[in-house]
Amino acid sequence: MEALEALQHVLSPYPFLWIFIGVAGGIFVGAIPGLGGGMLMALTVPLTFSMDSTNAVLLLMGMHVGSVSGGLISATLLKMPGTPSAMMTTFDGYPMAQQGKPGKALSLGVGASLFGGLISGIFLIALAPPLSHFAHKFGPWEYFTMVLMALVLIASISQGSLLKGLMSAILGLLAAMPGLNESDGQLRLTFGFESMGDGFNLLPVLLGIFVMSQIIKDALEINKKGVGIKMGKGEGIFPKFNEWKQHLFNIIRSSCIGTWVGILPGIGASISSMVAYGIAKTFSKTPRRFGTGHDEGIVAAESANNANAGGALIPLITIGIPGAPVDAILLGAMIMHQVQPGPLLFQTNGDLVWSLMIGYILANIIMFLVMVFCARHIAKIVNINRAYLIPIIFVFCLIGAYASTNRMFDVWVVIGFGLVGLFLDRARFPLGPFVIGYVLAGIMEAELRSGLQISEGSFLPMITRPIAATFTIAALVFLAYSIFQEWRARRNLKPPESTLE
Amino acid sequence: MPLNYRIPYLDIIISLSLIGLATAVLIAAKDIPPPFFDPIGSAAFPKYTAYLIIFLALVIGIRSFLLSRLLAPRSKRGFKPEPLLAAYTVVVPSLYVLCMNLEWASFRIATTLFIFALAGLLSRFDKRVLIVSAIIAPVFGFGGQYLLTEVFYMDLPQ
Repeated sequence: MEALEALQHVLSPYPFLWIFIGVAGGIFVGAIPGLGGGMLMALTVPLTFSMDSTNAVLLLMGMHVGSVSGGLISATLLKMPGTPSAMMTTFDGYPMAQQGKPGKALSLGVGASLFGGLISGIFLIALAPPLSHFAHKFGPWEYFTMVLMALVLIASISQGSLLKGLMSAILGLLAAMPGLNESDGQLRLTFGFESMGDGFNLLPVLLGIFVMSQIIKDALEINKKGVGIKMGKGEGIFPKFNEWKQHLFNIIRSSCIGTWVGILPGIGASISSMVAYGIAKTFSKTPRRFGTGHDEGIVAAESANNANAGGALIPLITIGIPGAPVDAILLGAMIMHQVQPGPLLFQTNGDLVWSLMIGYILANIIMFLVMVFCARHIAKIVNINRAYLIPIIFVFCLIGAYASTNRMFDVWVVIGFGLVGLFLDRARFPLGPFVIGYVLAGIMEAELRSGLQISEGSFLPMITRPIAATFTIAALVFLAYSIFQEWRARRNLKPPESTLE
Repeated sequence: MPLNYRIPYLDIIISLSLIGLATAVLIAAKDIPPPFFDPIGSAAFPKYTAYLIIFLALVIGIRSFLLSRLLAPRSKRGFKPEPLLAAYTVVVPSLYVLCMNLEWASFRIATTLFIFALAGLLSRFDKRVLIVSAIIAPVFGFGGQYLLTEVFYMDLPQ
């Protein structure tokens, strides 16, 4: 019944309009290299303060879906992924476009994106309610060990070294600590500054890490331009039925991979598309054609990255843990709208959850239609001069940071965290673990302290309670496996020839 | 040392900075009162986080230095980076925020000047960009103030 009511709600004019605006805006921004869904969502959050919470969440979710798909356009036509998740699409999308078939490359990508989104939408609706029910059994130790596992997992799977991933996650935890500690009302790490009493607020930190660091990077790389391929006038983007049928197995397999990787806490769409691309290549009858404009490569990458978005909503809704760094913004927006994601969400805000799930499927359908009819026009403006965009984006950062608390201190926080994000990025510290660490720090500390109060200071429940023990063992296994993999990679690393001379 | 060794200076600088940060956190954590009603108190999390940061920073720094000879030389980029423009993207917004922070200019005036100035600097005073940004800047400055305060009911720096 709730699903039908939600369907009725999302099809009513306002929610539908917000999803449409979100998807269209997401596609547009996702198509522009250097901008991304995270940036758009972080900039939009303050504009949603006066909106109904369900509509706000639908708008942001639509942006997420749109931006993941929009990256396909510039990846195919410019060889520059609009979003990191479209990186794998450049390997086959651009060569196919170079061969004079940009329409076919886009149509394969758009079709795969639609199916990826729909399949993960089905998983979302099927898995979220029972998982949420299961999560009712979680106590403080289960939450603490789950967050621990999520941080280890994202640190070990993020691109770059395990040590840098772990360091990034721990820095995220540290960034959340200054200010008033909610557990006992103590002020800490304020360094004598009155403004630090409230700590670093969520929105300025997200704007700094996602937006400010990106615009500094964009200015640094302002000369980076793609070699554009134009689409022929009569070339259609509407996917052909025969192509869909031919790639059905690849689509289903890659969508399942994308959804599963999305469910794992903290891992983004780029990893999904890499894994799906690799598996498609392994099982392909023509693996050598991958990277030369092969249909299978585009289909695998695009269905996986779109499926990831749906999969990542599952841990967000059921246990309040972001499935991907971008979902941290959705989590933050929900908290700002007084909606607390977690096992009780189905009971406290059932209408919102069902609207989000049904809206996610609708967003994918809207994405498909917008891409089919407008991708050609969007492609013309993806190379927009960044000299116009950078100042305007910063103005939105300022508005967003200032509007949430009316403090200029928060605007300085945006600039500060922008520099932190830039330096970490230049030194190849992944930013995903930082954001997830920052968002989860509060839960982690509060649950540990509650757990220790119950166990009278003993850490033993981490291994004596079955669910907590499973998470602890999983965290240790992930850690050990990552250390082993890195050790093996280092062992195989040989000095460059010139250094041996 | 041959020129094609690539010592990851940034890793080493970041490691040293993080050790400095963690030391500051440890000093600040000393001032936090002991726990009243739970076994660990408010100081435990910052302290152990700082210890972990020091440990990881040492490992990253030492490893970066030792492994630098195993790293391939920096690969060539397909474009010329513009560190000066990146610096403008930090300095000009900081001046813009400072102007409003010290109440030297209102949002509408500061925003108009900021958009025009930064767009001009980033485009190296390209005539076309200057003309377009001369139109965009007041639209965002004056129009933005009206839209955000009158339609979205948001507060802006006055």
